[in-house]
Amino acid sequence: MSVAEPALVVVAVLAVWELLARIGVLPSSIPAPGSIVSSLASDMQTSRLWNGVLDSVGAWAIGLGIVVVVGVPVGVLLGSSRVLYAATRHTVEFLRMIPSIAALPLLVFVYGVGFQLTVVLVVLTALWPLLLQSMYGVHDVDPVARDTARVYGLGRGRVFARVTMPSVAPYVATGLRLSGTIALVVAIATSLVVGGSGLGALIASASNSGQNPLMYGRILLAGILGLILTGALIAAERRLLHWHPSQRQASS
Amino acid sequence: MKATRRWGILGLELATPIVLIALWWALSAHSSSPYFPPLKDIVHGFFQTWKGSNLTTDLLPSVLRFLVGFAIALLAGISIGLLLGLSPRARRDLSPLTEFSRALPIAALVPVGLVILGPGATMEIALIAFGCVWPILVASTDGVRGVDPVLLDTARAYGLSRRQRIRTVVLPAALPQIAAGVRIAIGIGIATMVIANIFGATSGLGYFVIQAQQSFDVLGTWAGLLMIGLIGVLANGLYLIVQHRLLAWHRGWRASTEGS
Repeated sequence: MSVAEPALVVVAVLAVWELLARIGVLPSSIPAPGSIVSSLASDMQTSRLWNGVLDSVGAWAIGLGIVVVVGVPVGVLLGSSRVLYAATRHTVEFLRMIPSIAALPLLVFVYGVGFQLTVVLVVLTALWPLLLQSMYGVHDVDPVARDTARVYGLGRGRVFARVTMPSVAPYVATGLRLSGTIALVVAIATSLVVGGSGLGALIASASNSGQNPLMYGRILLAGILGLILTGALIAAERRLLHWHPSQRQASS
Repeated sequence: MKATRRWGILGLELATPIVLIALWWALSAHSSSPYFPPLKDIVHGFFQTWKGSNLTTDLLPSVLRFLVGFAIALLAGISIGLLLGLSPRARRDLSPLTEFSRALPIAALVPVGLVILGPGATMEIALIAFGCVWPILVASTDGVRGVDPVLLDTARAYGLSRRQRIRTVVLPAALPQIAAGVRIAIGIGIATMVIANIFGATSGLGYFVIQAQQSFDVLGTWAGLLMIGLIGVLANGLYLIVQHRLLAWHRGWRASTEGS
């Protein structure tokens, strides 16, 4: 019952849409769902599409990976010193407010059009939020827990591994989830605007050649990718943080 | 003692950006890199660009479209979000549609906007509104779901009408969550403002910055970058001021309960 009703709504919406398109109420700029799905299905048998998907998703994943590998240690470092924290917090907050897409035209000069450009832009999008989250995570370590660990004779390394990192992890997961979404927008936008071989460029080329059903099909795929990738980030968050109170309600 | 420490921290906070800008200025002063000209030239180019007609032909239209699109998203997102939050059945039944629309990267929809609405202000406003509405809608729905049921029952027992309950209990309780959604929407909205303005447009910020890039006008590209950055900073700054005022009671309440 709980699954049947939402599914019914989707089917009903698609049926009405299909009907309106078939009897010609909708303009040709809005093709029927059936033709969208069938052009996506035949497009999915071409390697060009999968290369485009790999290009966009790969740049997204590598960019986020770089941000985790670089941003988290730097954030932890900046957050663990009171002086560094005070000196850098507002500067990083400021940098975070600058929309990364603003840098796209300049970066085209430096990196040209291609995979590298998308990776750099994804890094610029996700770096500042993650850096900040890591700083805040370290800053918010429960002092009682830290002092207790010290009193029990844990060395610096073990306090870091047992107390500091578990406190930082939920902040990093939240930061990654938040910036992952907009990083995907940026990854698609990059090849849409400047070309290349990403999914954005494929959508643009279908649009430029007037193949509306194909264009909608590729956009549908972008939406499905969005669902999968944000779903993966949420699943990873749950899995890595299953011990954390914020996940208790969700798992039970 | 405490006061001197506070001044020390403030000094540190101010020192970092000043040092960074000074470093940039000094290190770029004799730069021969074509893409990273001396900061002095960048600043000069910025004022040259934005003191003239570009201000009214490119900057103003983009900002207005952002504001209109964002306002539509704010109204629609909060009202629909509240309704969905109050009705578990509607929320569940529409969840496939809302989840998909939320996950769809807004940039991918620019060609759809072009096909259906054609280039121009209407298309840009529609895309900005569509991109911004989902984070606000989802945050409002989640915010309403988190309302203390005892509080709602109490309001009902005291005979508050549905409208009064929404205004005095539901909305305030959901406000912190809504504020978090609004902040995400600002980021998406500004990105959409730029991206949507690149295709088929003949004026606007996105058009300006892409034109500058394609004609290898490095100083123009920098001027566009800095202006978009400035808008991002202003929008976020404005958000922080409003959020600070709207949620002052919330922080006070939290401080008092956590302190006890």
